[in-house]
Amino acid sequence: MKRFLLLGLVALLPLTSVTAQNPTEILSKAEKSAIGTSSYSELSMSAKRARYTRELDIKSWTHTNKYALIVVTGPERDRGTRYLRADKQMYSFVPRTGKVVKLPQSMLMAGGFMGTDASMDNLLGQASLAKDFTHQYLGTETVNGLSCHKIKCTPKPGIPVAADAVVAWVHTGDKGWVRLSFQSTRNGELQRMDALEFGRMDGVQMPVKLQFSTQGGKQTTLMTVKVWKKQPQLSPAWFTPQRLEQTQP
Amino acid sequence: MNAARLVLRLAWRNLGRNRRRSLITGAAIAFALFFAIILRSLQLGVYNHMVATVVGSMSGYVQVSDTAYWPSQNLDYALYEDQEWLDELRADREIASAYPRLQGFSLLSVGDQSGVAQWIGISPEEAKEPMWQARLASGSWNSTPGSVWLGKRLAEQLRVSVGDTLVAMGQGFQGSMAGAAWVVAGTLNMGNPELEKRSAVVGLADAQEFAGAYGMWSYIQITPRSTELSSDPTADLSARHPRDGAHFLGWQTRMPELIQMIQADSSGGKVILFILYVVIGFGLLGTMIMLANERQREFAMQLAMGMRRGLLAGIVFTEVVLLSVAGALVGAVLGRVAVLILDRFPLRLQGDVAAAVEQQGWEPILPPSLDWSISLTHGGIIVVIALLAAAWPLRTVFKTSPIHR
Repeated sequence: MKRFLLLGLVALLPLTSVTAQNPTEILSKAEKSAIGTSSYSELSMSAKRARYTRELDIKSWTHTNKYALIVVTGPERDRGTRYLRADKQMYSFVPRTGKVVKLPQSMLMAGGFMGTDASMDNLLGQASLAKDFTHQYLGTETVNGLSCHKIKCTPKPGIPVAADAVVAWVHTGDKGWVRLSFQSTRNGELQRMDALEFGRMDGVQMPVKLQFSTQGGKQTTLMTVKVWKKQPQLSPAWFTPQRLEQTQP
Repeated sequence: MNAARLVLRLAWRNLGRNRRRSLITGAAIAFALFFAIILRSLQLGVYNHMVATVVGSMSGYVQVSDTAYWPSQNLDYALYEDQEWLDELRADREIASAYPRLQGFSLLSVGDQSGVAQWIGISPEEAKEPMWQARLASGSWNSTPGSVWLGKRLAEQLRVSVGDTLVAMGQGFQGSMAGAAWVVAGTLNMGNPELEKRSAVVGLADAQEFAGAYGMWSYIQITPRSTELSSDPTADLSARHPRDGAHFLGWQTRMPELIQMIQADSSGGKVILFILYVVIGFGLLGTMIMLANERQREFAMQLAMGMRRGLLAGIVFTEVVLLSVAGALVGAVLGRVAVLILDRFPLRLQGDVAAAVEQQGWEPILPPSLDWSISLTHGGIIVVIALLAAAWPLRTVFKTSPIHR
């Protein structure tokens, strides 16, 4: 499921001054600031289920949409669980096993991230919505109280994504994306991301409270950005399995 | 002498008057029943065998689980441990065994090799079952914490052997992270290639620790004393041992595709039996017509001498009843003997068919079902057919004129 698209952590970045009506241009502008920015962030997630609510705290380092290191800091049982993505390689480290495990690529596409409604690639970086998709402008619509451009994105041939289409609602002002809906022609909506609150972090305007919904909204996960800092010194060489093993929560 | 005894006596004597005809008729009935029993026993036996392989050892004939557990089989919908209730369940006379399990999916990896496996946490008592003991392909059933027993093909795929350590990780209970390093203690023949490719058996306590599901069971696997297809004790057990938030599910409910397959195949068998019965039925009818024609003169004579038609009809009917019951008894006894022999020395499939069946996951043998209801049902059917055929001579009795001819 849900493999695609920009807007993982990287994409929490702002889409600045979108005024053009060309959908590709609107999305390119969004990604221009997203890709090429390295960051450090602290996030907390709260997944609501019928029988329980799961809280998860993570620290994350990212570089473009292809490199990411995620360290779980809470709850206690999961503290120290880490994930690394270095381009096409994925690794994981679970403290109780004391070993770095290489993950099959399919893990990137499959299932939620640690029991939440966010997918692995929402957090570890996704394909480029501007580059890997063709776009169709569907007019303007008001979503979550904000006026948005509605753009339907269809993956270009050969791009391995599970969604048959992604509908993006991008703020007509400077707030960036407001809602993304990942859709499959067979199963309807697979996942939806909503930007609920916007703020300014390290001088950058971005969504600071996001909601991931799956199963037609029956399951939701709220994600709050607590800390976000630019980290221009990060480079692909920083994201190594050794780093994964050594980074403490 | 009262009428009933007279009828019985005359009927018995009449049977002796044309021994060859009686013998042929009885033999036809016995033969039909004999084959019906063998055919049906083999067919139902194969289904039992299939079900035993597919559900008996793995998911259980009856499963007790959280009401939300099926069909997703999500680890999150686990039950709290309840030893008292389990003991009560085990004391039930209709239950052969009841074992709690915890089950889920995880990624297993060794070095660069990795694969997705279904891990099954089984209790130490369950591991002592002959079924599990017999499945061991290598290694041993020790009770060292952190041991894992892999399906044979999974072990091959991961290129591990006894003594190697592998890392298991995946989603644990209610969203937590599951992770552990397990030592391979053995490999298993699961009797089903699919299971061998994806099963990893661990101790229940290890599984609970691994998934963070402390004090939880996914389900309780129950094997009832009677595992015949015709009996489904689920509702009874559920009524006797209720548990809040949990329900009892028979395999018939959990695996409708299996029961559908059996029903489809079974109706094919019923068509063959129907043809057998039609052939035998017309054979019997032929004998009955012959009987009626041969004895028409006799009937006329008796009627002329003042025999009541009702009494005469009663005699003929009793003859057929005696004959068919005797034939059915002989057929049932012969069928039973044959079935017992087949049970002792089951037919074994050979060659390609055997390979295909093994691929689908069960041993290529055709064990018969020992269910008495098969003999009873088909004995009943054949007697009814014989009685229907008797309508012809009865008609003759009522049609024959005492003065004509």
